[in-house]
Amino acid sequence: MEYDIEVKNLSRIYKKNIPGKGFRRIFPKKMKIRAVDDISFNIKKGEFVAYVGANGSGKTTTIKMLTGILIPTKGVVKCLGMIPWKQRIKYTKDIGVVFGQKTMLKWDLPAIDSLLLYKDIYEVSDSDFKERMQLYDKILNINERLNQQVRKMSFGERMRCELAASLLHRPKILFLDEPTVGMDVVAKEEIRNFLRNINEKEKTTIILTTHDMGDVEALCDRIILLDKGKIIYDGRLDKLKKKYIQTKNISITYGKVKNKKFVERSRKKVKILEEEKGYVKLSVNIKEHDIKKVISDIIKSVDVIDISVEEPELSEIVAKIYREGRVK
Amino acid sequence: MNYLRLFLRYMRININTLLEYKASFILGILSSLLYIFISFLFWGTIYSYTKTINGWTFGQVMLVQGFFAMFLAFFWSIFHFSEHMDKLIIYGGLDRFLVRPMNPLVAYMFEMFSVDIFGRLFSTIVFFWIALQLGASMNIMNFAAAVVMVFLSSAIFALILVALSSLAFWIGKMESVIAVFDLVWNISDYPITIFPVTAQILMTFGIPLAFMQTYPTLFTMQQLNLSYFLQLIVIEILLIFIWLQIATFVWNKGLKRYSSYGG
Repeated sequence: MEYDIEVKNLSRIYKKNIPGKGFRRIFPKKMKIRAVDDISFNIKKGEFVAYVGANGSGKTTTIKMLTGILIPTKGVVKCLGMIPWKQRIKYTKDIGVVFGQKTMLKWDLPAIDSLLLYKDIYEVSDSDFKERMQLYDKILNINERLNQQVRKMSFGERMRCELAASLLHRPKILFLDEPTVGMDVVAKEEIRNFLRNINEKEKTTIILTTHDMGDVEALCDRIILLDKGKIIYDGRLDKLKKKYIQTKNISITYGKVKNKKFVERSRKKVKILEEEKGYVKLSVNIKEHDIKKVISDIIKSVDVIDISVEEPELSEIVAKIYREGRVK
Repeated sequence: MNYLRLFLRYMRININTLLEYKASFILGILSSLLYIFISFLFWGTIYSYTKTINGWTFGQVMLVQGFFAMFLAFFWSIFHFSEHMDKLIIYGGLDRFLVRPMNPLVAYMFEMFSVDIFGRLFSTIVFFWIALQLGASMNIMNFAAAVVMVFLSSAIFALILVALSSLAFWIGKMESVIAVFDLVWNISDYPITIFPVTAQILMTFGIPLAFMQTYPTLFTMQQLNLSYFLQLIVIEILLIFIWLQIATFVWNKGLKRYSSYGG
């Protein structure tokens, strides 16, 4: 199997000063921080991977090593068969990078100037450039914004232009570092559509770091969870959910009670969260009880008018994993 | 990679930036007029007491001023990046250049290229005009060759600064080191032959100040013969070569220590 990205035993250690008091401030103690600690993973061509972790978990550091900005302390990174920081010029022709917090566009100028610059840097032909711009306009509605000064743009507008700039040369891998942070719902949706489109039509491998679990659910099949520089989960998103969802909530609106015995039996298996006349909200521990059985019991016990089952949101699950530490 | 095409693209971008800030450009010209006036006043005052200083007449000193202004025009327009490199390293601005298929230093140089060169060359021309009015002799062919020498000297200075500011990978802020250069430039509008011989040698091979005004002036005035001039050009090229090696070495070593920002 050919991989686009191969990472083996990758570490990045840096020294940090521990601030002291008085003279200790001048000669501080040094402490070694393992920003990324011995991680390994492979990414196939065309995969859309979410790289998720709490602040300071080493996400951005990993991305920076994958893009060749930082040099690893230990371990091997091979992207598209190249070592990013060694074959930088050749490698960067095949990747696109977007850092949400830093602009790749010229601040003082209309976005079109920067796009033309990137066209020259990546040696994109005129016809290709035109075609790309049409695609961007179709999905991102970019044309009307192109003649605006970048510094006067909103974050959403700027990000559209950043994405356009980073994809001009049809990169094989696209790195996105928190692209949707602080964006409104419509802008988010447009950008997600655009990314999905690029990923499906052009088979671009995309790695996305984000704090927005909505992005992850909307876009990625695979999620890599990071905590304190170590990978704590790497696999399909639905499997992560299956593993971590312990309870589901059931809301029922009902008419009259049909069978008292079944009511008793159901009540033993569930925890009641809310109850009023003709309505009840329950929580079921799905590790202990079969949810299908519980629902069929409920249907036998009361005259159900409406029923809905909810599972906890991904962000809740991930928050729980952050708090509890490693996934085993 | 077609660097010439990129250079032209960057030039166009820089001109566009300039057009966004027209007022700043005009103010720049006004401030250079003020600079010329003050410099003229200063030297004029000195020469009201004496005809020559160690053989240098008022007109000749104005030539020196002209060449120094030309040096600054080259340095601040083309090699402007070298003064800001330490900030690029400390604040992580370098990231942007490392993910492009270009030499990061060349990319940064192009990006920092300032088309103000036209504004700055303006004061050069005014100084030369004053010098001619004061009766300094100028040979046109020699002058053209002297421009090459001035340009090479600005490249040497840029390389020295690149080497020094690359130390920011280890040290952090380099402002104080770069400020020393401002100090050096304070003595660089004097012809160096008025200083003791040891200082003159230091100013040729150590901090090559003499190349940016004194030698070009002497050659323009035909007080330096051609073979001596060519030897000086060879020395300049050697210095460029040496500093290029040093700068690349320090830069590449430093890049391995680069820690970007945040994350």
